[in-house]
Amino acid sequence: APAAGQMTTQVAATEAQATTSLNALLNKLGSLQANFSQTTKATAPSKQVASSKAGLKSSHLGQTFSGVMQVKRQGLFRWETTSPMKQLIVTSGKTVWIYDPDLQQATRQTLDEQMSNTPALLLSGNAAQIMKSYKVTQPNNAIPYFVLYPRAKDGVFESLAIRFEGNIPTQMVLADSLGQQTTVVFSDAKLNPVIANSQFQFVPPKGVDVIDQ
Amino acid sequence: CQTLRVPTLPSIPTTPLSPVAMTTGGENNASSSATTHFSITGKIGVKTPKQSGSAFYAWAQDGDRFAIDLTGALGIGQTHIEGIPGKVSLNSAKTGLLEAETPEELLTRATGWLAPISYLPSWIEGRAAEPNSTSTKDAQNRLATLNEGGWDVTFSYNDQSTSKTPIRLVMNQVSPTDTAQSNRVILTIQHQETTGDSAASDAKK
Repeated sequence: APAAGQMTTQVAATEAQATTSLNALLNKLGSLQANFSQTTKATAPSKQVASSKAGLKSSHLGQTFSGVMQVKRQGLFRWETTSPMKQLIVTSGKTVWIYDPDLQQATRQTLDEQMSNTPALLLSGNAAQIMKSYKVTQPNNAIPYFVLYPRAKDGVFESLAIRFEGNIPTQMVLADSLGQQTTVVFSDAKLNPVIANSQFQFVPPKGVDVIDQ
Repeated sequence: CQTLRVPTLPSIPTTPLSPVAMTTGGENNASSSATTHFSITGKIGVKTPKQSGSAFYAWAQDGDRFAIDLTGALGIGQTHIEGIPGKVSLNSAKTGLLEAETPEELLTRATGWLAPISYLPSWIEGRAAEPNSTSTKDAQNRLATLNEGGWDVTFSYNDQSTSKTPIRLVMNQVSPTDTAQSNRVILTIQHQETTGDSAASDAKK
């Protein structure tokens, strides 16, 4: 506990306050466009797998994926990875297309619970729905930084943090149960730009193998 | 990899790598499996009647010790496979820790995918894993096609280089009885730094 007489400036929001302020910020996101940079690193040494201890680290952990994200309210979402490899993910709510040009493969599948719970897709989700599936905390009620914990126990990740600057999300950090941490940093963000709905449609190019999942 | 339902075992299993191949690395040319060493990243695409999908992967191989990371779209479905021939483990948020003798069995149990992982170290280095497999060579005497472990493999190389290692493998397993049962795996390959490779130098740290 802080030393007696020392002014504690950091006050955690109650769950209700945190939920209300995250809700308010998400509802301001009519649409959003931003560059993203995603990296994954191992965090908990105890959970580190044997091979990494023995120095045989697959270099995935240091790899950075970057590209452009576009989001529009009520479930319109586009995530285009351009480096180091190309992949396009597009959904307008019900089905999700994952297009891999280097594999000449496009997978179409229903937007399932696991996919819709990914950090990025939360930005396009409906705020009330998000509140139902996550416990929302705000360690410092003066700072728009929230940590979400899935209510479902078999969740694919343990916690998801999201940081805003003004009304714009700038970073998301996902901690999974493998002791890994995936950080997504957004840059050059544009809040509420005009984005045509066609950006969230996908027509597989000729010659691409379409796989229904 | 999309939703990771635990599926039934494959209709066309990969024939296990013969022990001889595992030690001598098939063609007795300079590099054998004992000196197999690479650190690569790329994409893997899998199409099987039961489960299809794609993932980004990273693969570190040191002799017959390997570590493979798979990440699905948007960072979901993180799966880690590692081990040595005969003792392999897989860990993923979805399945927890699984252990088996072959990586093929583990991958299928965890993701429903089929891939000839035990053969891939040799194919990734542009050589056959078994001594007498039928194969054809290209104009620069590099492996062009190969039939091994029940898979038909096509090798593609970077046109601008004379490198002996492929940048893409297309692997097909056509069921003799029912073509709808055929399986396909595509692997794109980007070798990380060749000399003073991070995985090796880390190992010596």
